[in-house]
Parts: sequence; C-alpha cells; structure tokens
Amino acid sequence: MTKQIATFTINGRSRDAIIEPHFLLIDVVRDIFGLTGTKLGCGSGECGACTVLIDGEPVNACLTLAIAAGGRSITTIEGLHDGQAGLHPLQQAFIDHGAAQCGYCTPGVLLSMTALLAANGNPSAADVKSALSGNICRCTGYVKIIDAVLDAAARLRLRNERGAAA
Amino acid sequence: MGRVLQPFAYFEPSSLTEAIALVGAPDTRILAGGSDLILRMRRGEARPSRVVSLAKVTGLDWLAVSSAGDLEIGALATLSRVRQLVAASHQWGAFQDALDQLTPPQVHNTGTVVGNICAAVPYYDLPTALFALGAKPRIVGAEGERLLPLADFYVAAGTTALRRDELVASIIVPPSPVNAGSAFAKILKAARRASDVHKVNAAARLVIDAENGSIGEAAIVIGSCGLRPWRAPDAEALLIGAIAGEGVFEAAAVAAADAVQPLTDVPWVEAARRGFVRALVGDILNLAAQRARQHDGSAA
Amino acid sequence: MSERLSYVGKRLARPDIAAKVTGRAVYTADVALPGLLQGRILGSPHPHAKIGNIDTTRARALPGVVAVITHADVPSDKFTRSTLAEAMPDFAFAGERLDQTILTSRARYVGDWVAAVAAEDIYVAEKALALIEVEYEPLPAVFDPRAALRPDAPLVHDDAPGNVAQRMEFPFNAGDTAQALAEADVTVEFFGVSSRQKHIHLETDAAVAWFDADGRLTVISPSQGPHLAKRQVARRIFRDIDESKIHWISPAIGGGFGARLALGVEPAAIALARAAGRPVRVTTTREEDFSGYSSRTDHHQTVRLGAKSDGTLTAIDYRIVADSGAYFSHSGSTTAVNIQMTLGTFQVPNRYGQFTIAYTNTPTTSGFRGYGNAEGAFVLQQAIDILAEKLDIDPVEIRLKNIQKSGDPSCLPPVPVEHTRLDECLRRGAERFGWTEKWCGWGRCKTGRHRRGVGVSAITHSSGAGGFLLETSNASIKLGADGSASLFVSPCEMGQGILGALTQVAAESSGLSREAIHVVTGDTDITPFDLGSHASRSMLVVGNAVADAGAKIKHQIRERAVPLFALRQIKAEPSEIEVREGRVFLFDRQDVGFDLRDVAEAAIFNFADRSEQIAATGAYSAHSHHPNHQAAFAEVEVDTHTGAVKVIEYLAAHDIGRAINPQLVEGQIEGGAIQGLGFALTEDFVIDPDTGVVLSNSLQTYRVPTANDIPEVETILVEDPYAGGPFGAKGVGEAGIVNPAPAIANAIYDAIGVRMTSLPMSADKILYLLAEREKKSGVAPGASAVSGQSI
Repeated sequence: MTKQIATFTINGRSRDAIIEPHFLLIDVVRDIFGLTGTKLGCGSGECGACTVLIDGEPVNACLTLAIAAGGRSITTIEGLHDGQAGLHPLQQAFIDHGAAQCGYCTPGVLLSMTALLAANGNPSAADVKSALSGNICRCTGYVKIIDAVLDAAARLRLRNERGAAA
Repeated sequence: MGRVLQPFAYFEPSSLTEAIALVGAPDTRILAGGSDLILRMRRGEARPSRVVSLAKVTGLDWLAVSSAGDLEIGALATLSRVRQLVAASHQWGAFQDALDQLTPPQVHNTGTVVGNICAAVPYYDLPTALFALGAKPRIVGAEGERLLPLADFYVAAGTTALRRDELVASIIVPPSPVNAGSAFAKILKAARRASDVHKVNAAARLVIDAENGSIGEAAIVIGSCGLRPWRAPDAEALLIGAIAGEGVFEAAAVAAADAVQPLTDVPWVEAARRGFVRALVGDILNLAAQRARQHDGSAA
Repeated sequence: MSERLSYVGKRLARPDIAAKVTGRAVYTADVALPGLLQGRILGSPHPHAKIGNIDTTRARALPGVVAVITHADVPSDKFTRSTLAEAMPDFAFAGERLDQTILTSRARYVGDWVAAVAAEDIYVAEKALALIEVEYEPLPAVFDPRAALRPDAPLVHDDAPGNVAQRMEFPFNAGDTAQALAEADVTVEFFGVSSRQKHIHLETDAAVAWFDADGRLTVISPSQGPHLAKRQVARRIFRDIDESKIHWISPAIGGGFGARLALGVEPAAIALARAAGRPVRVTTTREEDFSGYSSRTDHHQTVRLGAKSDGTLTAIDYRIVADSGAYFSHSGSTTAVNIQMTLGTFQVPNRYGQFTIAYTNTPTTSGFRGYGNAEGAFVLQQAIDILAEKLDIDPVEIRLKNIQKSGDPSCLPPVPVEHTRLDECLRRGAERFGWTEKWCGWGRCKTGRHRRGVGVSAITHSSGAGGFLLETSNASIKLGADGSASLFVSPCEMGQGILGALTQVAAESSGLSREAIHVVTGDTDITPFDLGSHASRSMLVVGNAVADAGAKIKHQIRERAVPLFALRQIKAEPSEIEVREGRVFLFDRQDVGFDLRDVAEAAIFNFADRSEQIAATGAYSAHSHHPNHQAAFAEVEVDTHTGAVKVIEYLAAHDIGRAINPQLVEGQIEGGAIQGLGFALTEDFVIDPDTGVVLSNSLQTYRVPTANDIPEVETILVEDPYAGGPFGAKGVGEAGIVNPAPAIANAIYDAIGVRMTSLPMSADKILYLLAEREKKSGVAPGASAVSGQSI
C-alpha cells in the first residue's frame, strides 16, 4: 500500500491527511477535510462545479490528483469571505441579484469569478462570459450571474478607490 | 468506468534521466497536467499500474523563444503560460487561435501543450494547429534525443511514435517569417455513429510574396476527420504559385473537402462533414492570408 | 383587499440563498453519517439480454465489501419509476405500465441495472463491481420506435404485444375533424420530431438510506415529491414496509427539471441498506446519467390544421408516436399532456388527438420541464406559420386571431379558460421586439452568407395539474412566544426560489414581518402533505394554501390582540385591528399599537386565561389547471456556410397574473429560455442505431449552453391579477422552456426558407438541408427514427 501523509494548505491553514496516489483532490477536500462546498458535477473537467483555486488560479479538482496539490495553496468556497466583514462582495452581489438558483454550480462559479476579478478589476460582459465559459449553470441562464459579477466588480473598484483615497 | 480511480504506484523523479529510466517499465503512463490521463483512468480506458509524474523534473517548465526564433515549449509549460507568450509574440496565429478556443478556462491552468500533443486524441485542437506550423516534438530517451515532425509522430489514435523508454521533453515551433500567416478554426457537431467524431477542425499556413501576392508555401491540415490530422496536398497544390484571393481559396476548400475520407456509412453525415471542412478551410485561408499581408502573423 | 402591499411584488432575497453562496447548503451526497457505506450499481453492457447466473463470490470476498445484491435479493413486484403516478386517480393509474424492477433479470437497455454493492469506501465498491460475473444471453434488440411497432420486431416486454406500451385516443376530442378538414378552405400538414433532451441537473442522482433500530426507514434524496415518494415505495415496491414507517427528506436539490419526479437510486439504496444493516449512500457518475433513466422522449408528431381563408382555425388533428425507451415511467403522461396543450393553446372547435407509445431497448425516458408542451410547440407553432404563409397573414396576427379568450373551452375541456392575457403578451412583446420593423413579410428572399430572420411563438401552460391529477397542498404556520414564525411547507425547492416567494405570501397574508418567518421544508415527518414541485404548481397551489394559513393566523392575531388593547384602555373589535409587517395597530389610529411579538407571547404566557399558541393550517385544492401563457420572439442569424445558428435576441412576455417576486419570475423565464435554447439548437442526444449505445455521453458530446452562448434575453411581465391565485399570481416555471424552439424554428425559416423537422436544429442538419435545396444531390437522408438520427 502506498498510503502517505500529505500536507495541504487549504484556505490559509495547513492540514494533514493520509492519502494514496489515486485519490482525487475533490474527494480529499470533501471526504477527508469535510469541506463539502466543492461539488462533483461531471468528473471530466467539463462542468466546473468542482472548481477550486490553486495558487489563485481556477482548477478542476475532479481531474487533479491530491498528491499533486500538496505544497500549493488551495482555496475552496469555504475560504471565500471578506476578512472579518463576512460575505465577499461577489457573494453579496449574488444574493442581491438572485444569481444562484439551485446553488450547485455556485461555489465553482464564485471561485472562477474571484480569480477573474483578481486579474481584471474592470471586466466587460464579454470578459465575464469568457471566464465563466468553463462553469455550466443549468438554472439561471447566466443572465443574473453576469449582472452580479459586473456589479461586484464595480463595488470593489469603489471600495478600492475609497481605500486609496483614505 | 468509475467514479474514482483504482490504485497505482506513483513516482516523482527529479531529473530527466531518472524519469526516462522509470517510463521504460511496462504498464507505465506519464503524467503531466493530467487532464487526459486522469480522465482516461477514471473511465477505465487506461489502467496503468505505474504513473510517472514529471512535476518535479527540473528544466521541463522551460518556455522561451530562442535567439533563432524557435518557440521551445517544455513538457510542463501550461497552456496558460504558452498562450500569454504566443499572444505577445504576434506570430503563430493558428496556435493562438487554437489556444484561445480551447475550453474550459480551468484546463489552461493545469493542462500542458506537450501533454495535449502526446495524448494523441484524434479530436484535440493543438495537434492540428501545430502540424500546420511545422512543430516538432523533441523526444528524449535512453539512447539520446531526436526531433520528429508531427506528421511522423502520430501513428494512430492514442498511439505515438514514442518508444517505450522515451518521453517528449519539449516541442519546438519554428519561427514564422514576416510574410507568413496562419489560422485555425473548428466546428462542434454531434457524433452520430461510434466511428464518428464530434467536431471538425482545420489549420492553414500561407507564405505570401509581399510584392506580387503569390503564394509561396501552403499547408492545409484537417483534424478530427480521422485517426490523426492529415494534410490536403491536392488542395495545397492549387494554391502554390497562385495569387492569394477568395476564388482560389474557395477552390482549395472544395479540394480539401473532396479529400475527406468518410468516417461512417451515413451519406448525409458525411455530406455535412465535407461541408464543414469546406467552410472551415475557406475561412482559415482567408484569415491566414490577411495575417500574412499584414506582415504580422498574430491573431490580433 | 387593500392594494398596499408590503412584500408581494418586491425583489427580496430568498432565505436559502446565503447557504448557497457560501457552500453551506447540504445536498444528498454531502450528508455525513457514522458507519455510512458507499453503494454503486452495475449496469448491463448489452441492450437486450437474459441474465443467467450472477456469481458474486469474488465480489463478496473482497475486504471492505459489506453487501452485494442482485435481482434475487430485491422485491420482484414491478413498479413504474414515476412518482407522479401516485397522484393519479385509480382509473388513470390503471393505464400506467408497471414494468420496472429495482435490479433486473433481463437487461433491456445498455446501462440497465443488474447488481449493486455496498462497501466501506467507494474504491472497494467499484473494485467489487468489476468482480461480479454475470452470464448474459444476448437477445435481439430494437432501437427504432417505428421498427419496434412492426409485427416482426423483437419484444422488449413479453407482456406488451407489438411493443405497444400505451395507445390512447385523447379523451377530450371534440367535433368532427375529418369533416372539418375536408371542408376547410386551407389545410396544412406538418411532421416533426422532438428529442431526448437530458435534464443535466448538475447534481447527479444520489440517495442515502438507513433503517433505525426500531425498523423505521429514512431516505434522503433529491426527490421533487417526498410525500408521494414514500407512498410509492411502500405501496408499490417494498410492500413489507408500512408507509407510516418511512421518513423521507429532500435536502437542497442540485437541479430537478422534472427528473426527480421519478425514483432514481433510492430503491437500490434501500435494498442495500437492508442487506448491509447499515446506512448506505449510492452515487452515480455523469456517464451513468447519460445512459440512465431520465430525459425527454422522442415524440414523432404529425399535425394537420384546417382553417378558413381569413385564418380562423377550424380543425386540428394530432397524432404522436412516442419512444418510451425500455421502461414506461412518464412517457404516457408526457404524451397525453403534449396532446392536451397542443390541442388547447388555440381556440379550435374540431379537435382530435391520438398517441401510441412504443418500447425500445434504449434508456428509460421521463418527465422534463415543459412536459410534452415543449415537444408539441415545436410542431404546432411551425404549422401555424405555414398556414399564415399560405394565407399571407402576419404570424403575430394569425395568433392573435386564434388564441383562447376567457370563457373559451380550455385545453382540458370542458373547463373554461378563466384568465388569459396572451393577447397582451403578443402585442407588448411584438412592440418591444420591433416585430413590424424586423419581419419583412412572406417570401422575401434573404441573401449573403449570414442571413437574419425573426420568429414568434405563443403558448399556454398550466399552473398545476388540477382536473388531471390530485392537486392539493397543505401549509402550516406557528407563532413562537419570541415573535418568530415557522412556515411548514413542502413545495420542493430546487432552485426556483419558491421558498422565498412563499415566505413573501405568508408575510403578506398573515401580517407577520418577512424577517420573522423561518421556513421548514423537505421532511415528511414535519411538513404537511404536499405533492411537490411539478406542473408549475408551486406558487398557485402551494401559495394558496400558504395564503389560507396566513389569513387564519391574521384572524387569530386580531382576536388575541383585543385583550392587549383592553389593557391599554382601548376597546377594539378584531375587525378594527390591522396586522402588517409585524405590527398590530388600529386601522384608524396607526400610531396606536404594539409589536406582534407581544401578542404571540401573551398567547402562550397567559396565566389568567387559556393559553394557546397561535398556529394554523391552510389548504387548497385545485380542480382547474389555471393556465398561464407566454409569447416569445427570436431573432437569429444563420451562417449558410456552416449551418450554425446564432440567436441575436430573445424576448419573452409572460402572463404571470402577479409577480410575487419579479426577480424570481425573471430567473425562471431566463433560465427556461436558455435551457430551451439548448433544446432548440445544440443538445443532441444520439443513440447508435446499430448497438443501442448512447454516443452523446459527456458534456463535450452533449452540448448545453455556456455563458458564451447566450443571446440578449429580455423579459416582460404582464401583470393582470388572476383571482384564483394567491395575490393574483399564476405559474411560470415551465412556459419559458416551451417557446424557444418554436420561435427559433420560425426565425430560421424566415432567414433561410428551410423548415426544420427535428430537434435540435443543429448545424449539420441545416447545412445538409441547404445543400439539398441547392443541388438536389440525392444524398439519402436515411429513414431512421432512432433517437438522434432524424434530420
């Protein structure tokens, strides 16, 4: 047996798990660490429901071996918040715009969009659609998701301007 | 076919020599980004007892344009890094198109160009584009190193010319002269028989004389229409020496479509496939010519 | 009733959305339990085979395997997967085919369930599946429904001669269509095939089941109707389990769209839990979903219309051959509803409908949002346009001329249409869309590589299945001494936002503040009986029950407030007391009052008099199906070189009665529009006609719309309150998915003059048809009716 102890940095904290090479990252995150916010939708890297951030970049956890993710910084939906202030502006914008329906795609969508806004604080609707193209939503038709992301981007820019001015 | 993978022995060599020694053993697969291998393993299409990861091998994430103008892409260079470099280089338009159109965005962060090429999946996009650009895998093995044109690299679906104790360390894309232009495009469709494929893709490269507009070099590559990408020599022959223009491109597109071998015995499905090839080849020839004339091979 | 509304009509956030944006919502596969085993099911590789010996020795011997079961270990009573069938009156249920077992002794499609394993972890469970040795004796198979109905076809079920699963004349035919067609000034005949659209709910099927120490069974699954599901399981499948011993929980559901109105892996999970003596969670893969038991079915539809020369419809004759797949499930009811809606959208005095449902050795089909209406509209709305072209009438005008008006016999005759504003939907939609500017008339030939066209569709759908099925709801509200309220209701929240909308109805009708109301749902031990989520019923039927409960609560509050006013030296009758937004006050002296919490507390903490908590149950039963209506307009651009269709703009105008929460209503229309866009253009479910294998078995080969594929979507809410709905509201969940395919089909015809006769209207079909028209090349299209093989 090739059981080994691996150390992961998840949502800023270091956590150990006993894993084997054939374990997928999504199963380690969900079943061993109990972080069930990351969802399995297709297991083929085609729906994006399992999107997590590795070193800030969106990655499909269903096609990543857990053993390959040790030593990298992993962010799951549970790690998305606004410091002490509670919900991240993206999350609040999703609530305000009704951008989540069944909610199953939502964690993956939020993480993809977090990465988008980190790279581009002023995305166009086309930029949002392109960054969203790897996250399938079957419920919303994407309309309110795009509205929410653009609104969140605007709120973040405003906050940054105020922060810069202060 | 499963929800999870079954156990295997896992190796993480730290040098190329070590890696080559490991891949020579029977029932071994190489892991780069994993987008293809992990999926095959989950679906039961590949059941290796040994997996050799290249993640810790030093030097394989090399990505640069050499002084001679070659683009050398190391085995671990991700699609994301490569796409950025290609976009900035304003060359290799077909390659940029294929990268721009490759979905989902997530796979750009883990997938590698070399991994994509080595998977030898008949419907992948990068092989078609790189074939048209004359790219060559740099194969390293116990007996040394060799460069192989992509035309010779693909033997059949899922099978490359790699010997058991070899791996692809990088892929070299030759420089694009200033009056060259290339383009890539694809159409998604339904696969209606087991032998059918769910897309058609094509790439073209033209070198056009800046003075008189005549075509000096032409490459037309059709992908997803067979076990590996193939060139259309009859179509190319119509272009060599001709003055670049829509009429001559349409004739070449028709010739390329005529060269398509059926994948099924369903006449209307094949008629549609040929129609797609004709449309794609016409469009990419026009785009390649436009880029060649702009003295700028870029996709911008 | 005063029209000053506190909550109805407001875009308020749903109570369940915070959990969804933080990843805290619990779905079936998220549930963790001590001792939970992992279950997996083995599918047949053959489309039709007798199963002989199943050797499970090696599987059982694998360390970590706790139970292995086959057909010998499960009840042999046959059932229908359809949970909805439990809501049928007995005489209708008698027409349902009971042909399903949990695990089969005869595989009838590739993927049919043969054995199941429960093990300590999923790796062992899957390894064990591979160790089960099954003897298959392949039998001849049939994949084409037309071939299946021929006398020489192999039988899928020995007790279904001719492979006829059901054959029926629509019970509400009227007049004499044969004569009316013979006498009509103009007739049109049109044939079209719908497709096996897959639900693609992102959460694949899963279930958890366990038996308590006292023998009580608990099931957790994404069922859209847990109260019905437990009845179904007890009455039809596990007959030794009393229904009173079953507890069913529907947690957060990752998309339903009708798929969860049929049993999925729950019976297998129950059987494994029983065999293992421990809780079992069964999960499935996306590939198994594709070769499984839920999708729309192919309806091969022929419609004939007769009309006067002024465009007035006089007759409709509609015949369907539907492909049920290997088992029956919802195929009978979706086909019946197809006829019902198609015959009932327009006012036509002579109506005839008839259908035959065939068995084939292909995956089972089921109910899907739009439920027959989406299939039929594709054909009917094109036939209307063909008629309009023959008579040179504007497509919007011919619809305005023929749509139902209030009082007309509806699509479930003889119940009259109580309320419709479809005319306003058409007019306002046409104006906002710019119909008269964009539609250039019949016979205008467009040129160039890219050609644009516009199309319209106008449909009717139901808000509930009243008159057809049991259509009833119960809801309870109790008020705690702390002033908070619990709303017990079970509509099945699967993303449509119904819990939020019902909270608004509860607050509005009771006078409570919305913030004080906490929703309790999805648990058959706790919530009163409800059918669940289907037929766009939740707002109208459940909402009426909630409003009833709310009104009763308000009545009690008013009564209990009287002594509290008296303590303040105010003599007030209940009729003089108003309750609104959590405050109790006098109608004519709004400053005189107090917090509702005081009333709630006093009701319980009453030392002097009788203590009784304020609580009420409301109920509602529907005997009409309360139609809602929608008109939609599409503009497309067709690339004649590639056959690709791009939707430039899509507008839907919906007759909602009243939008309790306009944001949620828009969400349903937008989501339905995009799901309908996929149905119309790219979602191609393909079965190999030689092997019966599903070729489109991944999200790469079965393409649903991504963010890059959406057009400009615009919605218009036409609000004319309907007296039969809570605060005037009607349903909206499904109409949005019915309109896109027909509107786009009509737009494609406007662009390139080609009538599409099968779904999806994919690029290869369009390219082929354009080439055929040019060259008449004589390339044979093929005559296969196998799913995904029609042009």
